[in-house]
Parts: sequence; structure tokens; C-alpha cells
Amino acid sequence: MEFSEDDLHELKYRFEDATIKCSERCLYQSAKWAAEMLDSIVPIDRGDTDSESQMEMNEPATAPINPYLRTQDPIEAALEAQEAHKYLLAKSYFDTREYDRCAAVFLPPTTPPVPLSVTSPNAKPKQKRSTPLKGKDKASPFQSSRSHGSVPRNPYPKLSQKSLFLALYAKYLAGEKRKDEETEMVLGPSDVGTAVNRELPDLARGLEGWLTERSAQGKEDQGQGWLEYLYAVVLLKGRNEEQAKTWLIRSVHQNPFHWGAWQELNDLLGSIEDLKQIKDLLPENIMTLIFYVYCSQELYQATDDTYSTLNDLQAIFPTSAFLQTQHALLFYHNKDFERASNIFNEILATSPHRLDSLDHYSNILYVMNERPRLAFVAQIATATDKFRPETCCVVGNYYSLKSEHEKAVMYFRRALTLDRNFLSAWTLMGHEYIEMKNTHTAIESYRRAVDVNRKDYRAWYGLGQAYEVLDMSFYALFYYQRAAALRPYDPKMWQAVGSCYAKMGRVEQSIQALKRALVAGSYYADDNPGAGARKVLDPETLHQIATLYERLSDEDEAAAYMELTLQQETGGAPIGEGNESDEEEYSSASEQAAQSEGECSGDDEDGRNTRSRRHRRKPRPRTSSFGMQQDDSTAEEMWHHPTATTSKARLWLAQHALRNGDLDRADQLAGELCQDGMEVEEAKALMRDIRARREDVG
Amino acid sequence: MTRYLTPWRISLLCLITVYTDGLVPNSSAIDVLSFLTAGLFPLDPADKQWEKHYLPRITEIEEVLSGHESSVPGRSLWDLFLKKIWSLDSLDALEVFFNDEIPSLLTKTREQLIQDRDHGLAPENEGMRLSRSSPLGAFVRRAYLEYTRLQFHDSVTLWTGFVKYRLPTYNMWARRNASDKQDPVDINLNVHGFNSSAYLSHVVYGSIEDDEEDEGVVSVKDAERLIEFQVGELQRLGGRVPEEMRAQLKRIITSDSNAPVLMYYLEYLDAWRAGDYTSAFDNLHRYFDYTMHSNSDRSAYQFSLLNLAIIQADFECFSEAISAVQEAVAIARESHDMNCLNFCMSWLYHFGKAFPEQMREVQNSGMLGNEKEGLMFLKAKAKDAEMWSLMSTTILSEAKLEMQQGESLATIVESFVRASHINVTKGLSNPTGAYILLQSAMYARIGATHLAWLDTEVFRECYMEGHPYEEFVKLTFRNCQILAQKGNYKEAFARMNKVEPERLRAFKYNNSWTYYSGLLQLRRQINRDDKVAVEHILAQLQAIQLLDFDMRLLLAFHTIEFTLRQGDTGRALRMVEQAANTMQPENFDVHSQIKLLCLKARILEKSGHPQRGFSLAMRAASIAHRSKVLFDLWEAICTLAAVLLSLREFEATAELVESIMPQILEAEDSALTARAYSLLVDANMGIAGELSTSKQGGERTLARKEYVNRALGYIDSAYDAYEEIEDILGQTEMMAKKATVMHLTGDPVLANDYAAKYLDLRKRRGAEI
Repeated sequence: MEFSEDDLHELKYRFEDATIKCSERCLYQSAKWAAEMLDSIVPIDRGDTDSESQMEMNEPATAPINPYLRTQDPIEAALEAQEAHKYLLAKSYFDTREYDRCAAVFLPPTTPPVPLSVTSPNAKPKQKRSTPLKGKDKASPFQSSRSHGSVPRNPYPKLSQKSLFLALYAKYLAGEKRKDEETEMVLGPSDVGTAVNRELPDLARGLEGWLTERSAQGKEDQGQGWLEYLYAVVLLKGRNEEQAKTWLIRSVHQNPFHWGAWQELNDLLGSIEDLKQIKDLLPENIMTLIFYVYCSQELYQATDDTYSTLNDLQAIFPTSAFLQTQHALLFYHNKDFERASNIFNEILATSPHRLDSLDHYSNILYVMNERPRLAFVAQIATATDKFRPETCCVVGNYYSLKSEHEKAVMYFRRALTLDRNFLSAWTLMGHEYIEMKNTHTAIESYRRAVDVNRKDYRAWYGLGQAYEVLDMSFYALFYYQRAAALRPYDPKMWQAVGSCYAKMGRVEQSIQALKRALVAGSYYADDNPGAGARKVLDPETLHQIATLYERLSDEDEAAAYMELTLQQETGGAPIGEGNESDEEEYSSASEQAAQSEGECSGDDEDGRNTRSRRHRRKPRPRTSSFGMQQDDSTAEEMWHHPTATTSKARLWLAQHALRNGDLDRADQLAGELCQDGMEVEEAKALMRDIRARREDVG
Repeated sequence: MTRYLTPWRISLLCLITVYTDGLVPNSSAIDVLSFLTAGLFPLDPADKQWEKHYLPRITEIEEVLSGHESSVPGRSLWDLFLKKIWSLDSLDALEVFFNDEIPSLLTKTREQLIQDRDHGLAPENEGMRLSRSSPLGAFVRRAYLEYTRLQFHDSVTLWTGFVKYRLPTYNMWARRNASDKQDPVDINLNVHGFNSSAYLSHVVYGSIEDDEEDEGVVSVKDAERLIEFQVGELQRLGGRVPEEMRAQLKRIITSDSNAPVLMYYLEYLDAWRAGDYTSAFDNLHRYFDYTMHSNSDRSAYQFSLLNLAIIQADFECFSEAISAVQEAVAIARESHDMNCLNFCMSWLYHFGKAFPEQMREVQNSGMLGNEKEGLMFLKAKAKDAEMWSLMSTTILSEAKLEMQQGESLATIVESFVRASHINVTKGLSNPTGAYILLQSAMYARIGATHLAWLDTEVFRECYMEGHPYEEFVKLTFRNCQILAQKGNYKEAFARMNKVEPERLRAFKYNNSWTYYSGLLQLRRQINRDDKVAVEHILAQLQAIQLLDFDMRLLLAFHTIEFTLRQGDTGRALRMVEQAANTMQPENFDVHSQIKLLCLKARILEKSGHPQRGFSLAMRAASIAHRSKVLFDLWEAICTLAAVLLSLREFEATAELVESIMPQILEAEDSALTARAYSLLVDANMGIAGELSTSKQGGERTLARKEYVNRALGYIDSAYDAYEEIEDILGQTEMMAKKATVMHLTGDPVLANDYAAKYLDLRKRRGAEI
């Protein structure tokens, strides 16, 4: 992907244009994003051949007028010029957060924004039923108005698109504000997730009318993309996702540099298949590439393809903190915590005031158990703004790592008070509530997280755990499956599914799931350089499978898996070590969750789910987290350490051998057990038994 | 402003850990511990270095510690302390310090021990652990609790403050511990690979190197300590807030909104002392309002009413003061608050003494009974409630009452002894001032001026520090008054002016000081017969309107004396009548009564009707004799002698005066001495005259000559005494007499000389010396 100088110039113009237009429409976040990207574009070297001669003097820095800045459409331009002062008034109202007043500048309340048709009384009661929780409810008011057949009319006066967007956007925000006010305290009595933005039906009808009028006039393709975007957002809020998707795609075609539209589109995509589906519908430009990277990251697709695209993009935007963050998050999803945290460190050093996605960084540090660093990051964030959801999450994570769960919950709640849609806070709060044994509240917070973003596998997984604690395996299974669908290559998910099946007595399915976990885990291990030659399997899982086969009284299979487990002594020792301590922990922890957790926390996954780590105050050896990535030389020395699991397998095998009359093998295994100092009592009993039999025979 | 924890408290905690690690040898333990306790306890005014112990800087800790060797060879305590504070290398380290290390300093509670046993942990007995209720233990527990309730950003502020606090010691520490040199600010900055000037550290720590003292150094607790200390000082000494302290307090108050409520009380005290009625009331009510939530059961209502009454009375709103104090008494009775009730009663008693006319209503209601009953009541109550200070002052009040009513000297002295006994045995230092003041007045009354002088000197030498400024000013005045009596004006004025302006910043004291200085001046100018100056000073003094009845009377006496000297006997007589009328049974004083009687007799004498003053003088003398007010007795006898002179009873006069002469000399009052001498002159001359007129004879002439010579000697003595107190009139009179005597003895040259001198003196009248 080569970019010529002209392309870069154009790119600059486009971003500049996007920044200005977004801020004109008070889309602050998108404007910020565009400006950041604009700032990070690789500096243009005037003339590649003679880079020394600085021609800046000759180059009239301000002379080239951004060709995109002008309003293209003459009608629109005329309208905008006409409304200029009104627009200024409305914008100033918007900036002072007087949304209703802002809307009233262009949409005087005397002209009813919605025609008083017969549909409205019918639509009202339905609107009440349409809670966001119900998902794609058929009774959505936005469809109902159409299904009734009333011709949607444009209720708005003749306005430029810019002004109309501002006015409607203000209306929308006013509704959101009121909705937030209605819900009051986070998880309080009135916060039951049923509050709705009451402006939505009006907006939906109005926009629909406006857009159909446009298409009737044949101006469908001359839209600027803004109102389309707003309509999509409104549809999205009404859970009308398919329609929203088409409108968003149209919007990004018309106005590709509006990041907000891309983000909404990303939120719509639940899986990689969805992404593949719409990929062809998207325009072909640099924004699509950025979107692709972002989307892949959000969908945990840390593939080579993603990396290469990201690298290309970073060539153009070398200093973009956004892209760096994506890079770091990709590493994070790949469990490469060290590199991820290094990238975040760099970002922090260059722009310490930047708080965006610091919460992810804190998650990474949490997993790495880097308490001083986490405290430091929290300190930095607090220094910039202590009332940002990101800051609160970082601090909450810190307290969580210190096992001060009450304080952690306090900070997560604060984050949610500041922004109810702050996803990670809901999930993290769920973890804290699990920790505090408040399972019901935990379920509620996980549910909110899932409602905000259906791609958060941690929340799904958390839900599963919570139900497992409550001994409701049927529910738990469902949620584990969702989590596993989102992270098909994450063995922990499959382990959870497997143990759930096992608990429900569906042994075959359980074995299948566990085998899947085995495959995912081994694939993962193979993926890493250094460990590639060796096929590393998780002994824990193997042992589980073996015991399950035993339950099915398939002794041969069981013995085979036990043997495999034993073989892992020379393969996956550091992992096993982690397991051992985990299990010790669990003997005292709550019984229900313990079993599954002990099983699934085998390899070091995202620590947010590995509850056990929180109990442990003693610093965990780094090797357990990075055993897979670290060089073999250190690992080699630890290879032959038998663990509790392998010892169990050994014992089982010894007994198995005894049953089958293979006394020598049994004796050998029991002897090994005695040497290792594990299960000594059992082993000695076994040896006595063997001796007795031998004497019998002899 | 943080609630409790400040950087220096963290360093005290570090010091405590050094101590509990057993690194402090026995020889240094006392110094370390006393430094710790000085920082933790309320500020002690007896501590001369309290400023150092309030918010100690790190240099002050160094001062204390660097001299001491530790148990580690080659390392001083300071080194170990540095090592400790620099081991806190990041915010997380601070968290760990507070959450893990601090609780482990304490002995385990019973529950913890039981828990340990249940978990099968062997009881460990290594290391020193602080008892939970010891001062250090309480501090550690409080610190732990306070840290737990800190929000994250508060702990960040604390940490940043601590980093700045210890920064000056970085070089010292790094020199000793070159091996583990770290970033002077935060170990995390090192990890990130930036030096401390980088952008990031600036964001996190701000401009760390500037010396500017910033917030977080003073906690609410510290502000409270300071204000409590200041309120204590104000209540103890009655002064005002010093300027530097005011600046400091202002900084504390403006730095944050949650300043301690006690601040308003302090402002109230200050405004009160400054005589600023409006702000005093404003602040007092503000204080009440802010403290309302803490005593919703009206537990402090009576005290606030008492406070109100006191301040109302001080600003002369008597009726309101009385209604307030009556309410206070009612509430105190209702809530059985004996302490407050006793205070109220005591106050009411003194108020009644000072303003009898305001108390009629209360008197009539029979709340207190008569004075004696009131005092008995107070004494009994004070003893019951073991309020020794109140008891001591009540006994003193009793002594004063007895003195004023001229009762038995023995009882009065007994009261003094009892009061003194209580003061000594109960370790009270507060009533000492009042005690000395009253005792010196008592000595002055019985004519033992040197003892009175001694008392005031004792106060000046021993009790000047740490006693209410009011008493200090009064005693200084007494002291100077005695000096002035002896004619030592220069010294008297010097002492008066030596009173530090700091002590006179309160409006009231400044007022009394001015008044007292004015009185001394007045006395001198009257003696000098400087009419202009006297009238000037008089006008000023009368404008001051002091509330103290005794002082007003003193001024009245001076005025009468002046009028008398001017020869306006009619007016003087009217003034005496007026003064007599102001006397009420409540503020009746035997001394004033005698003084008034004597004055009246003198006026009559001057107006040429000495015989009419005879009965007055007799009455004065008999009263004085009966109540052993000896100083007044001598004066009364002098007055009587003057009457006798007019009756030509020269022999008797001479005998009378000569018999009391030693006592008069002992009284060290030059005016009285001069007067007595002049009476003796007249008496001797009278005797001589009688001898010359009655019979002739050598023996008689000899005798006459002897009397004349004696008279001449007395004239000289009287002249000297008059000269001492700069009494021009007396001097001229003596000079005139001397000239006459010379003339009579037939020595015209000398007579002429003396006459010239007389004229010279007359010219000097009123002129400046």
C-alpha cells in the first residue's frame, strides 16, 4: 500500500474537513478522533529526492484551500448561508448543554414535529413495551409506523442538513439525558434497565419522513451522511439492527471520515462472519482499513492479516495513539502482555493526559500482577481527571488487585454513574460482586454489560460462572457457549463448557468440549515460537478427559489419556505448577465454582476470569504467566517436575496396571510416586498390595 | 485539606517502625519517644519549642535524630530513618506500608489471637509490638483507620505531599545508599525510563522541585490542634491572636472549606477582645450554628448562654446579659449541670458586685440571697463539685467582701491562707493573679506598704508569663501606684510604658492601661498644680468610663483633691456628696467611706470651719480603728489633728501626731508624711506661740526656741517630702512658713532668702520642670 504525496495531501484535507464538520455538528468524540488522526499523519517530505532543502518558505502553508471544506451542494450552501446566525445560536446553546433550547431554534414547537395522525396513539403504548432488553422486538415503533401504511411525511421545515442534524441530534441527546436522570442511582431501585429515550419514536418518524421525501425527490445520493447516521443510531436504539446497518453503510459511503458511524457499525457486528458479510458493501478507502483493524481487534481476531493491515496503517499514521492502542490490544488478546504493556507505556510517556483505553492497560497490568505500575497508572489518571470512567476503572482495578473489593466496587459504580454505557465497568463490577459472594447483583451487572456490548466474552463467561455458583448449570452452559462462540480458540471457554456438561451428566458432550479445549490449547502452544516443535497439551484437561472416559467405563481410552497426561510431565510443567497452587486454593474456596475454575484456570488466561489469583497475596512467579512465551532454557530445567495432576494420573495408572495384572509397571509407577513424594500413603499401600500379590504368585 | 494524614505523620510512622524494629538503643529512646509524643499530643504552651513540634519539617527530624547512634554499628538513627522513608518508593509501597505494615505494629487483639489459634498459627513473640491503647498505638490505629477511609485521589495527594516532603533528604540518602539509588520521586518513573523532568512526571507530580509550601501539609487535625492551642492561649491570657498566627490561620482557613469549626470560636474571642461587638456576635452565633449538629440534645446550650451573657455584659448590654444568664441558670438546673450552674452563679455574683443597679430585679427575685449567702452557697457547691479554681476565687471574693465591709482582719487573713492553700495543694496557677492583687490591697490598707510592694514585685518577677493580661495590667498599676506614692514618678512611668503592646492588643486592657497611666499622670500634675494639664487629663479620663467602681472612685478622689487645691470648696463639697451617693450597699467599701469623711472634714477645714469637721474626723478615725484600716486611720488622725489645731490644742496635736509618726513613715506615702510633718510644724509653732504669749522667762524662751527649732526641722522634713512628690503647693507653703519663722526669730536675711525662694516656687507652679 503505497501512498503518494498527493494522496497524503488529500488525506490531510479529508481529515481536516471531517474534524471541522464533526465539530460543527457537535460530534465531539468523532471530531477528536479525526483531529488526532490528522495530527498523526506522516509528515510530508516535500520532494523525496532533496529532503534537505526545506521549502517551507516557498510553500504557502495556508494557500491551498481544502477543497472539501466548501459545501458541495449549491442548494445546501445557500440554505446554510441563510441560516448562519441561527446556526450559531443553536450551536452555542448546544455547547452550553441546553439541548432542548438548541432544538427549538430550528424546530419551533408551534409546528408539530410529528403530524397528528392516527398512528401515534397506537404507537405510544407499544413504545412502552419496547424495552431495550427485549432485543429485536417485533413491536418496535419504527416499524409499526410503516406497517400501518401511513405515508411518512417530512415534518421538518426546510432547513440545511447541517442545521437539521444539529437540531435533531440535540433532541436525541436531550432524551438521553432525561433517560439517565430517570434511572437515578447505579443499580438502584429505579435502575432496572427499562428507561427509554422518549424522543426516539418522534425522531424515528421524522427522520424516516425526511429521508423518504429525499428519495422521492431523487436526491437519495446527495445526502451528506449525517442524518443517515443519526437515523441509524435511532434505529439502533430501537433494536432495529438490520435496518440500522444498511443506513450506517450508506452513511459511511457518503461521509467516510466520520468515525462515529464506523464505531456504531462495529458495535453492530457480533461475529467475524458479520464482518465478512458486510465487507464487500463497504467503500474502499483508508477508513475501511482502519475500521477493519478496529473491528478485528474488537472481535479478538489477532491474525496475521490484521497485523499486516495495522502495520500498513501505522506507516501512514506513525504517531497515532489510536492505532498504537489497537496494536497493544491485539497483543493483549494474544496474551502477549509484556509487549502490550510496553506499547501502553510509550503512549503514556508521550501523552500522559490521554485517558482513553487506559482501563485496558489496567486490565493488562492486573493480569501481570504489576501492582506498583498499576498504582502509578492510577495516579497518572487521577492527576488528569479523577472523574472519568476510565480513571475510575483503573483505580477500581487497583483496589481489586489489593483485594479491597468494597472500594473497587465503589469506583466501578462511580465510573458507571459517569457513563452508564461504560462497558468494562459493568463487567469488572460483576467480577467484584462475585468476589463478594453477591451473586445476584453480579448477574445483574454482567447482564448490563452484555446489553451494552454483546461481544464481551468476559461478561458472558462471568454470567456462566455466576450461575454455576448458584448451581444452575443449564443457564451456565448457555452462557459458556456464548463465550466460547466469541472466543473459539480459547481453551478456557471450552473447559467451562465441558465441565458444565459433565455436571449435567452429558459425558459425551463434555468429552467433546474438553477435546476442543485441548485442541485450542495445544494449537495455541504450537503457535508460539520455541514451543512449536513440541506438542504441548494441558495435563489437567487430559486428566479430566480420562476420568470422564472412566465414568463411561471406557478403560482403554481412559488409560490412553492418563498416559498422555503423564507424558506432559516432560512437556507442560510450568503450566502444571500453576494448576497445583490453584487447586490448593480451591480446596478452601467455594465448592461450586471451585471445581470448574480449578479446571479451567489451567493455562494462564485473562486473569480477570481467573478468580483464584485474587486470593493469592504472594506474588505469583512470572513464569506462570509467560511460561509459554519464555525461552525454553529456563523451562527445560523444570520439565520433570511432577504435579498433583500427573501424580494422580500416575496413581490411577498404577492401580490400572495392578487391575490388569501388570505388576512390574504398577510397581514402577508406585515407586516413582514415592520418589516424588506425592500421594505417598496411597503409593505405599499400593506397593504393599503388589508385594502381597507377588508373594501370592511366587 | 486532608482530614488527618500528612507527610510528617507518615514520617512519624516510619520513625515508629524504626523504633519497634528495636533499632533505637536505650540511651536514645527517651529523646525519640519524647519527640514522637510532642508531635502527637495537643500543643503544650509550656513547651517553648512548640512551633517545632507543630508540623515538624524533615530538617527538624534530622536535628533530633542525627545525633543518636543506632543499634546498627556505624549508622545513626537518622540513616535508618532515611532508609525507611526512602523504602517507600511508589504509591503502591505506601499502600502496602499502611495496609500491611502498620497493623502489624500493634499487639494482636484477643479475637486475632483466637483466630490465629484456630488457624493453628503458633503465637509469635518476636519483635516489639505496641499496645493498642498506648499513645503510639492509638496513633498507629488512627493512622491506619484514616488511611483506609481515604479515597484514591486523596492517597495520591498524600503520596505526592510525602514525596515533596522528603525530597530535601535525597542527596543524604543517596550518598549513604549509593547501591540502590532510585529515582528521587517514584520508582515507576525509572521503569519507564524517564528522568524527573519529563512530561509524564510533571503531569503526575506537578512541579516538584519548587519550594512553595502547598496543600496537604496541614490536615484538619493539625488546624484543630493549632486553633485549640490558640483558643487556650486566648482564654488563659485574655489577649488577642498575634499577627503571625493570624496569617497562618488565615492560610489554613482559606485553603479549604472544611476548616475546623472551632475557628469561629477563636474569631469570636478575638473580636471580643478587640471590642468589635458585631463580629464577635456574628462569630459566636456562627460557631453555635455549626456545632449544633454535634449537640442536638442541647447539652452545650447553657454554656453558650453563659458565653453570651459574658459578652453581652462586656459590651454593656446588661439587661440582655442578665436574661441570658438567667436562662443559662434555668437550663443548667434543668439538666443538672452543676459545673455550669456554679459558673453562672459565680459570674452572677461578680456581676452584681460590679453593677448593683442592674441587679435589682434579680435581687428581688431572691435568686442568690444576700451576698454572704451567695458566697457560702458557691463555696459549698464548688467543694461538692471539686471545682477548686472556683472555690479559690470564691474564698478570695469572700476576703474582698470582708475587707470592704471592714470586718475582722483575722478572718480576712484566714481567707487568704485558705485560698493560698487551695492554690498550692491543687496546683492552681490561674487564681494567683487575683490572689496577689487582693493581698497587696490588703497590705496597703493595713499600712504595710512594703509588703504590698513586695507582693507586686513577686508577681512581676515570677508570674508575669502565663497569666491573664488583665491582672497583669492591674498589678503593674498597683506597683506603679506605690512607686508614685513615694514620688518615684520616673520609674513608675517607665514601668507603665514597658508593658508590651502585645499584651494591650485587647481593647479592654488597652483602655484600662490608658486609664491607669492617666491616673498616675493626673496625680503628678495635681501635685505640680498644673491646671491646664490637669483639666486636660481629667477630661480624657472621664471620657473613658471604666466599669470598675473602685477606679471611678479613685478618679473622683483625685478630682476632689484638685478642686480643693483650686480653692473651690463649695464645688468640692458637692462632689464629695455626689461620690457618697454613688456608694451602694453592694459596692460599699470602708476605705472609701473613711476617705470621703476625711475629705469632707478637710474641705470644712479649708473653708474655715474646722470645728464642724470634728465629728466627721472622729467618726472616720473610729471606723478606721474598728476595722483596722490602718492607713486610713493615720489619715483620719491627721485630719483630726488639724481640727485640734484649730481648737488650739497644740500639745495634744503634737502628741497625737508624734505617736503615729513611725507608722506614717512606714506607710511610705510621701503626701501623708508631708502632711503629718506640716501638722507637727504647726503644733510646735503653736506651742511656741503659747509659750511666748503666756509667760516670760529664760527657761521659757529656751523652751520656745527649742519648739521653734523643732518646727524648723519639721518644716524641712515636710518640704523634703513635698519635694519628693513634686507637690508645689506644699513646698511653697513650707517655704512661706519657713520665711515667717525666720522672720519671727529675727533673721531677716534668711527670711528674705526664703521669701525669694517662695516666690521662685510660686513662679514654677504649673510650669514644666
